[in-house]
Amino acid sequence: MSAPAERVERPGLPYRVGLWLDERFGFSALAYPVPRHANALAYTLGGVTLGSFLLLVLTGIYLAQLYDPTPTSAHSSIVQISQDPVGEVVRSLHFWLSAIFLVTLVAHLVRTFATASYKRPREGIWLTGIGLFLLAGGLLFTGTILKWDQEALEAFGHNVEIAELLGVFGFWFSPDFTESVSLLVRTYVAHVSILPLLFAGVVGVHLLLVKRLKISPLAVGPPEEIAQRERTEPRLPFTTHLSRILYWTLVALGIALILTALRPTGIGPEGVEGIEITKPPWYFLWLYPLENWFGLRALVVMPALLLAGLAALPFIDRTPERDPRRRQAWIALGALVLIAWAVLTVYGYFTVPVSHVEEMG
Amino acid sequence: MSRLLLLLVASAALVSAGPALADEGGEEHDENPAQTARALSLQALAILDWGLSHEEAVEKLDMALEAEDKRGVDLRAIRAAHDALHEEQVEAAHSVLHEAFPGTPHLAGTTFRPGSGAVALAAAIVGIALLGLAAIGLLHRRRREREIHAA
Repeated sequence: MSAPAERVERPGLPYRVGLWLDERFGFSALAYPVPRHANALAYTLGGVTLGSFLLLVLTGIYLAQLYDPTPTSAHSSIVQISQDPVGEVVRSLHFWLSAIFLVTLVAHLVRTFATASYKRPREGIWLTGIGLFLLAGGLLFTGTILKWDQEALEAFGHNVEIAELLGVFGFWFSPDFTESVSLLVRTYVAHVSILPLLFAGVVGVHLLLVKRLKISPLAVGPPEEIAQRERTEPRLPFTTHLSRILYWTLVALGIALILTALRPTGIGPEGVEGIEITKPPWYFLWLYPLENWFGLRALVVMPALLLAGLAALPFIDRTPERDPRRRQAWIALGALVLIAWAVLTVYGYFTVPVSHVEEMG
Repeated sequence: MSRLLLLLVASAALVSAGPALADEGGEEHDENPAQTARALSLQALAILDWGLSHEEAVEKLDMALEAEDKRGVDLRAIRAAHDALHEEQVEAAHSVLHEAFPGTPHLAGTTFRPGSGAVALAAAIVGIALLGLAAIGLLHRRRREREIHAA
């Protein structure tokens, strides 16, 4: 007579469902090890930026159902969206999420710079990040134009002037590109389709490279100590990092919702062609004094210089040092750029507005 | 960190509750109240500054006089400029508007106005709830990670 078989308790339904899904979709592959410091807020900013981007896509899909991008109806459709209580909240949420998106993106860039995460072998991650920074600028600029009020019309005027300045390279930004579709409609297509798709594609490459080359080490101490720590630092499953990102994205959404209730974005009167009486939104305000001093050319040259400088960084700063305290010259240079940005923004806010575009309308 | 998060949630609750609760019930608007008399009058002044059609400036002043939000404008000056333009006295209207807005005018592209309505209140409540949920989640995760690390 054989011994009675030991009774094995059957796992619960949620566990079995999880197992079934994992067998087919391989979710457990996400539990690969990441260093413990990856869960610090400073190393979660990129994930929060991506979370904000996904929320922007969701709110954008809602707004796209109600927005008419033809020049004759664009402004009135935004007014209609603003008059509907839900539409107003979603539009304001889109506006505030875009601000949070930009803030976390820049904070992520600053952290990456401060900890020299762009150094070998992570130059590719840095370069794709700079590409994302550029695309984010494009998304913010095209979003500004879509509301088609005075500010938007003037931004649009600048767009056309810059297209002329760029010559053959500015052909897409020119109203002469095609007569059958207005530039506003094409700007809308860029905002809701071309730029988000490019952004998603570059984000994909960025994330694959982070996965391949691993999250950059904690930049404290001399290079040998950092390398040693990189090998011995305790690991946690990546899923813990994902849940941190999720919770910080919830914080971002919560803040955006509260700002939406406190300060919903409005819309100015319908724009008048041929006048110039507005300043750009806060994220482009640093360019305003530069445009006052050097003309429209500054709007192309200064961002191009900034981007070129950022892109060249890993190929100029090639020492193995990563600790900010041991890279004082670079940190001073970074601080100088941030201070210049802040001073130009404040100066732009208080400066007397002048006209830049010669032939508006 | 936990204290910071709790402080954040409490501050957000205090700050957002005031204006959201003080609303008048989310009534429907016939016109977009963000189109303030000030913004419209500045547009009218800019139209005259740039020597464009004064009829367009009259339209802007018409809208300015009908706007819900008439803060920050001298209504008597706007009416005077409006009347002058109707009588095609463009120079007189121009100088009245210049006196009403001393210095170079600047129109803020985005006009904020206080939140109102049940949906805005709901947004504030959901926002606070999300902050609370995130704070609890982050504290829980930190505890779990410490346990994993200790094990």
